[in-house]
Amino acid sequence: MPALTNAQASRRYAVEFTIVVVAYCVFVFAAPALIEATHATGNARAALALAPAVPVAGIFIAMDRYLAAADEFVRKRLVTAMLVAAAFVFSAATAWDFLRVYAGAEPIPPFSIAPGFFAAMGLAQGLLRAADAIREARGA
Amino acid sequence: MKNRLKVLRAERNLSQAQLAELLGVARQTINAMEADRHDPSLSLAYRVAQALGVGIEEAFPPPD
Repeated sequence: MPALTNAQASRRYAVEFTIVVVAYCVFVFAAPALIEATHATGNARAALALAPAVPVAGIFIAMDRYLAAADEFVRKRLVTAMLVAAAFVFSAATAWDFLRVYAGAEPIPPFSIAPGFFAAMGLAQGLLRAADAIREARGA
Repeated sequence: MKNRLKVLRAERNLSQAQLAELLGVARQTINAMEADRHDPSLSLAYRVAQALGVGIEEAFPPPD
């Protein structure tokens, strides 16, 4: 029996994921507000500007803990979803940047990349689960 | 990898959810193994056979 059952690992991941997403949302709005309110300069301004990036790293730490604890089939599905999301985000960002340079497209805010990745990963996980459910319903 | 999990589980009146709980894995993992959509690692194959009270070759018959 593994240290955590799959259900326990899923619950822990859900809690950790929620905490870091809430932290990201708070920092995204709090950082510019604090910069404006305090007129911070130098290192303090840089630290406030970087604050929203910290929870993004936290999400990957939570995912790493989940991957280590999840059962092998769930792990395979999560890795597939991450690959799909990475493929989508990297391809879309690269394509858009070429459009920006050569065709005058508007630039994408870089901080939209991380939410885009996690949205794509969530969508891919949902689609993989739905495909499993359909196969299961068909008895395959 | 062919397996007899569905038959062995039914003989023991275990649902997929019950077997999954015994093993600490997701129910979908049991379903994927039974449907031959997931080849388990050696470690999980041993644990499945042990939970069903059979040898690994009975749960996962070797190919002809």
